[in-house]
Amino acid sequence: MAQNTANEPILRIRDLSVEFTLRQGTLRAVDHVHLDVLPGELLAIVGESGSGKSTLGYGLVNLVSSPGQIAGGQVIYKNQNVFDLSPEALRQFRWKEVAMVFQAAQNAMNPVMRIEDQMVDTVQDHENRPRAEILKRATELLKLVRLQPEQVLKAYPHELSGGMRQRVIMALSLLLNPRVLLLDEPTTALDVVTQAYLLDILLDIRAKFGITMVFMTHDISIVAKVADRVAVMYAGQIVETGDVNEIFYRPHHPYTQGLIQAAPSLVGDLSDKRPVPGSPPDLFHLPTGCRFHTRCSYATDICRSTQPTTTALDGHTVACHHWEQVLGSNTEGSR
Amino acid sequence: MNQPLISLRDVSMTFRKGSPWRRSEVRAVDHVTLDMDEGSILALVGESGCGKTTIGKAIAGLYRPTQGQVLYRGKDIWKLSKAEFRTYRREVQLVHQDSFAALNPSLTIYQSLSAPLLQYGLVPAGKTARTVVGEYLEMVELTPPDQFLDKYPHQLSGGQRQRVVLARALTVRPKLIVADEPVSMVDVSLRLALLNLMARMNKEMGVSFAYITHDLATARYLAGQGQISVMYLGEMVETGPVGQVLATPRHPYLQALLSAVPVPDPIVARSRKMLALRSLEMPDPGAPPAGCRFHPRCPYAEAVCSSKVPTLEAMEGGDRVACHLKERIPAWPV
Repeated sequence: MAQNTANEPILRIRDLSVEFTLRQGTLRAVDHVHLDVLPGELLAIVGESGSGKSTLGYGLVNLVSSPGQIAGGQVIYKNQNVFDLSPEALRQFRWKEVAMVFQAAQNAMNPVMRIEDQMVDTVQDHENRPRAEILKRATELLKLVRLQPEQVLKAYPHELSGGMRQRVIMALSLLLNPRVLLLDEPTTALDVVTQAYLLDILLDIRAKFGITMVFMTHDISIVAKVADRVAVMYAGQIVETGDVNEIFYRPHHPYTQGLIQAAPSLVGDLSDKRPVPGSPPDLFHLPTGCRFHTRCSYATDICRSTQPTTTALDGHTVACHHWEQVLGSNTEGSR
Repeated sequence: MNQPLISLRDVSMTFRKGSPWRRSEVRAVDHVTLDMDEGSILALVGESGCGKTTIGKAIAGLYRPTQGQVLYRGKDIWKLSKAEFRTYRREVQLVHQDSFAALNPSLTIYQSLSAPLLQYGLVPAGKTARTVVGEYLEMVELTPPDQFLDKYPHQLSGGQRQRVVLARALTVRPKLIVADEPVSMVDVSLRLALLNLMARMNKEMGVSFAYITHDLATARYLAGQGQISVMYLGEMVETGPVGQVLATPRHPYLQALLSAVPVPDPIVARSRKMLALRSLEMPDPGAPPAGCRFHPRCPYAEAVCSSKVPTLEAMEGGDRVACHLKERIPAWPV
């Protein structure tokens, strides 16, 4: 974590905005997002439904589809803006450089093709490699995600459980040795035990290949176990980024603090748990000033009138007028 | 003597599936017995396919068990007179996961909430239905009610809609609400507020809750002083007071489940070890393993586990565990 700060980011997101043009008007799902992804790290992007985390993920690989469109900004990978790549270069960039595992990825498999054929197909679409070699690699990867290759390779998708399909997709995404893996709610549809194993597997994969991971989730509890760094999104904006321990023990933004205080836990005292008041805003009718002010106990006049700018601290960023006060309020509860 | 509000006596529920020429049976719930006292909270916990929803529907009288009895205040609900059944139906309400599906999209909140009031004649003389509906909306903290009465479900957030569904359940003055995953489709920042609301309904109005969930952390939060029953593949594997069951889990499945629950604290989360299971895959509920249904995945399984079905037996301290090796299973740190 600490040594990464000296490293050059592998992905730079600069001022990225994504808009959706709908009947009711134009909605900005991702609003001027600025974010660096460091090599080898597991960056978690946490946000509730409608926060824009999935749209940001699609934006990173230029996969935003109509009625959505990139409204501005850049995603820079290896000194190139992803939005300027030719269709062929973009095709190579996806899977080979940046692979994706999306939420309902289990359903993305071809139902009438055996797993082995889907594996071969995916690779041969990008590289000219013999079938035997691909299957050898697929076998290794399936073992890594704790599946039995002999059984799984010959199976059709419907013969596998949801948890098994999700792991097959994970193996599939690693076939081309990507440098970055994007995971959008990869465990959301899974049972608790399966989810825990999948998170373990992710940590294994990272330890083995040193692959960079961007993990989008609504569940801040999962993040505590797997992430190195956390970015918190609210209503299309990034409100805080920081090292995982800083985020949990010394949150600087009232929303982050609220999310942690509102997460039920199996351990510890429950008496200091408090709900976040109100509801997430309607993106068509955003509050003036800071988008969180209607739910925030720290809010003052300036929050109602002026959007906070992002303050960069040592390895930490926060967009709040009163972050110092929020940080100060942590001392009693933090370790 | 206190009579339980609801009791399940040896309830099994078998579903038939497949086509007429390839019929097979799935036993979703197998010989489950449980009691709920008036005013209590019971958390019914398990992963998908464990039968928790089927039990909820049996309690609410939506499924008729293929074996065993469901007793409401000591009487078999399927042998009640028409009038008694009507009372039972009013007093036991079901709230489920999807609040959007539970509300008629073409009716306003007022229309949805006034219907049961008028149906059961529950509007007191001298008040209008609109005033009474407004009072229920205030109870679920949708204030001021005038802002919500004439809205349609799609104009509300998920958390607000689930409050409307709870308010609608309250309008018929229920004794028990079967809440099946009521917060799992609600945004995380709003879940705690809904759980607090249910806890308040229990405390202030004496409404019992059967809280059905896969999420042990919310079960602990809501049912802290109540009871918990843990299900696996249709069977109850451990049951008892929440505090004790979660602090000293005895059944290896519950130990594995608890060790898999994410903890929102990086230092604690990284220091916890998962109980390693022999298999990751949940067996097909249509063809459950013989003996103890957990034995193919259980790290402690012995010969007896694959031949004999364990029954729930009382342990010291009031919890009951269905495991042949319960005295010898090592404690698992939570």
